Amino acid sequence: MSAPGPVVRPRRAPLDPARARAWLSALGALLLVMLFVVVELTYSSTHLPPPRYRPVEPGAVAEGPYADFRLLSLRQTDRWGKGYDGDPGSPDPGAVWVVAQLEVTPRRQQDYLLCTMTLVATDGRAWQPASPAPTHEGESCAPEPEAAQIGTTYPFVLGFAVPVADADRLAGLALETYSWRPSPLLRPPA
Amino acid sequence: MNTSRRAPRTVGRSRVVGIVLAILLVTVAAVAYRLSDPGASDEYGSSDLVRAPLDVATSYESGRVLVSDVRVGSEVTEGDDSFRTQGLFVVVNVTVQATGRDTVRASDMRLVDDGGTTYLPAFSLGSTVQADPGFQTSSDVVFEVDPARIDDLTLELWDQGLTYRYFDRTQTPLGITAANAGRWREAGAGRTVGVVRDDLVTGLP
Repeated sequence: MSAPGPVVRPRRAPLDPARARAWLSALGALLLVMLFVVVELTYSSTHLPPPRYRPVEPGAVAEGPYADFRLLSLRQTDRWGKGYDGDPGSPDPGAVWVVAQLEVTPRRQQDYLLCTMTLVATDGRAWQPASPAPTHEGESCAPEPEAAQIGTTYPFVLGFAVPVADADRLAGLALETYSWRPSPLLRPPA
Repeated sequence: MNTSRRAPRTVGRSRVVGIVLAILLVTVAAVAYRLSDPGASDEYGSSDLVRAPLDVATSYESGRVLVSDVRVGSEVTEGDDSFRTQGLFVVVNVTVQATGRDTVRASDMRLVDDGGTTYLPAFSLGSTVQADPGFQTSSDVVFEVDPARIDDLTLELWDQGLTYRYFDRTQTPLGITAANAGRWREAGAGRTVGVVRDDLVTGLP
């Protein structure tokens, strides 16, 4: 019985030049794509244009992705709903509540209904709905999608805390459509 | 006699182009990385490092930032909660004002002493101060430090966001120098500081 000899590994075939060139080209393309993404992210984060809005007629319906929305009224108030302590909900000092009465009509069945709105001022400032909001009457959107009926109109309420200095310069409520198109800007009836 | 001659070994043009392209890409990426790194500001002189003196509202992002009310103690209280330390708590009040169209946020903060020792906020929650357009937001930020290493303590704050991009980073010396560090230590020993980490939001006039 002889001792086992040294293990001879099969020599790897040299890489085909054409294949190596193809890999290099692919790597170069990947690097170019990564470079583009980095430049694009950097540029867009510093130069992204302000959101664009498309005003609808006062009191008119705006089409969202899955439902139609209409703004019934937009009013200012110093007290809205009730706070945790049961007292009337007060805005932060120097701010006022802007309460929007809306209605939504689901157009298509979806897992969830998006009622995301932004209150927009004429100078482009924008505010999200107050969160947490005081306890208030009315829903924050349509009923749960399972209970919402297609074609049925549901009322809902959104409240925004806005600086007093901006409260008289409001342009309307922008509906988030998650699209590159300008957002519909809801306005209350004249 | 073998008369065949081997051709001189040459490097393909495509390979040269590929190598040059790779070096170029790496160089561009490295320059971009360094330029967008606020830590490189001192070396490269980019303008994203902002000096924000104590008690002076200073331009920051699209609004302003104000650092004030420096306090020290060995115990901090917040409502019914109290926290003690064997070291020293340094508490600063940070106010962010959104005077422009956009939300202004200070999401990252740290204290740095002259030896490079870095302290992060003592409580992971509540160290982000954010103001919506037309508002200002104030909050106390608590740091737990080594009393022996507080010379030239400087507060740095910035908002890096989700992507690595250009952003302002402010530096605010808190007025604790090598000459007066002993007095700050004595002032903080056995002292309790009340802090308000809930945001105090006010509409700007």
